[in-house]
Amino acid sequence: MAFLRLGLQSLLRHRGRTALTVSGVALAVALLVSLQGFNAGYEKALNENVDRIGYHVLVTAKGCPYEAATLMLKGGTGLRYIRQEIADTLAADPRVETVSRQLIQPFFDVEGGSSSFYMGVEQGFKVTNPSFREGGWFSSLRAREAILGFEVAELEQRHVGEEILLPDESLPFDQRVLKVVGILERVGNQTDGTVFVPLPWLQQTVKREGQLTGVGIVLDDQSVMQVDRYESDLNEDPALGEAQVIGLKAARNAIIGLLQNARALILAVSLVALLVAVIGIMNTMIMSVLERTPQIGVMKAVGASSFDVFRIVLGETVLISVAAGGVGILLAFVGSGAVTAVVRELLPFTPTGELVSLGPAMLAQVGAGVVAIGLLAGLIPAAKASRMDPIEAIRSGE
Amino acid sequence: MLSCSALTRHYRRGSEIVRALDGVDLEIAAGRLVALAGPSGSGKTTLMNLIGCLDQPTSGEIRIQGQRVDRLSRSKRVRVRRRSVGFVFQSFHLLPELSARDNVALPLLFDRRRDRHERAEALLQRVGLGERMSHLPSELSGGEMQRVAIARALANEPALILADEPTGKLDSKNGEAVAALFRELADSGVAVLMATHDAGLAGRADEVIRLLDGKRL
Repeated sequence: MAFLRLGLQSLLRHRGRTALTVSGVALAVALLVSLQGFNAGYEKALNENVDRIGYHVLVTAKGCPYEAATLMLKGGTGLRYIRQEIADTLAADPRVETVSRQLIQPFFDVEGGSSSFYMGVEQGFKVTNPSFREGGWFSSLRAREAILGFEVAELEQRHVGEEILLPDESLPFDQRVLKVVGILERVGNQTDGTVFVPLPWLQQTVKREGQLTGVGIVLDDQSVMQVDRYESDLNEDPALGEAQVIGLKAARNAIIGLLQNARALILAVSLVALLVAVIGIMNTMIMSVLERTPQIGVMKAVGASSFDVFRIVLGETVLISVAAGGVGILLAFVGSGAVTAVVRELLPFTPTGELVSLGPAMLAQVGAGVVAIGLLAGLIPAAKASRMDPIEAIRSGE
Repeated sequence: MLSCSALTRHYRRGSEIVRALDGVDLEIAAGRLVALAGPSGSGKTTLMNLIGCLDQPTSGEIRIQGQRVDRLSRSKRVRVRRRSVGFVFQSFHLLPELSARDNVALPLLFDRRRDRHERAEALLQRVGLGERMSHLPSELSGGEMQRVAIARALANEPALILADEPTGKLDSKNGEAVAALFRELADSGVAVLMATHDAGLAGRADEVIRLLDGKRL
């Protein structure tokens, strides 16, 4: 402890230099911690989003799996359609508990410059266990009624009994007016931003009778093995024709796959940043050792062994590393909100919820890693100091 | 207490052999204040470094309190420096980030002494700096810094103090004070060997040993 105190006093003598060195390493640590936190948080949030969907499998039109995954998780543009008869075929399978027929239709508000997502649903949608904050289900599947997601209701400032306008100006006005019959509780996924309308009404309104963008399937047996087997059987079923089968696992993997390259690149960049920071520590300590050459000589003259000198210098690098690790982790915590905002801005799909997860185990690993790197960085300066000849060292200060 | 016989230190500078010391004999008993005089390059510092186990002779013998120290391993030489010898330098060489107390305690830290702060305080009282214990070297005068250095040299109760031009950077008043302190130390039983150009300091010594070109005159 006394040796560490000696090192600390030496560091405090050059506060500016010490602060700069600590800052450099802290930034690299913050970057690394944020990345690790993002890695953990994104997957965790994605898993939670996927779990909340309620389906085991989604059948949609053939095409890009990423688009299909986005459709499943976020309600994509739904530009491809499948025949409604496919849903009937799927419902006949004894393994299937429920099918949920869906038609997603985006509407673009030219004046407002925004888009809104409408989803036509029917009884099968109830398998997602929608929880109503106000009101309830449609009175009829032909009614011009709407159930609003939580955020839609907040944005439009609507309550049950009020009306909402379908943003399609090609339709006669009276056909655009929908009565709000239900408002959902906040779910934390794309449901919050969706307006749900009766499926047959929407198909007729947008002239997509007999067409769907997807069919959500819930199986009787929810074990992983049965879901995988069902998915595999569906993939080989010729009756599906133009449709593709997307399991939850595949959807999740498709999204994660999008990120892999970006994550690898960011990890490489943050490791390089850490390496540069370590070199910074080494440079600072070598400078410090050279400046203190006469002092090191005197310490040896008054009884310090080479190992004592080695310990003192190495202790200083550990102190710098610990300080930098602490500041870096703090920066990562403080900046996690900003990281989340930037990621949401840059990535085509981000799950709802916290994207940066900074758990104690991960923080402990990073902390230990920073100290280890500090020790490594301190080896050369410490060895240099310990090997100094005391006479030459003292003479250099005369 | 200290004896050197036929002490020689040669070293190579390029193709030339420099005879920094050439067959020097000396003996110093406990409680003696001995001045080492001679012009620059006469070998004073080389002799001090050899006696203080900072360097090893090319040939010859050095004994401190009967123990031969000229052929010790590095770790044993460190132990001699910790326990048997105290150094006082011309430029004081205090650690600037440490207080007077911590500077004095430094040799005790390396000797793993738990009572180092109490001992440091007592030594500072002894050299008349009881009121300046918490001050940094930058807050002390030259004379005060040298007294802190002397207290540091006494930290491990050495039998021998080696002082290299201890008044070289002091004014006459502070130089006198330091000289008086060395006299007092010698009178208390410590052997003091001081290299000096200072005639006043040499005048207080019990013996003056003169060197010239590495030889004793």
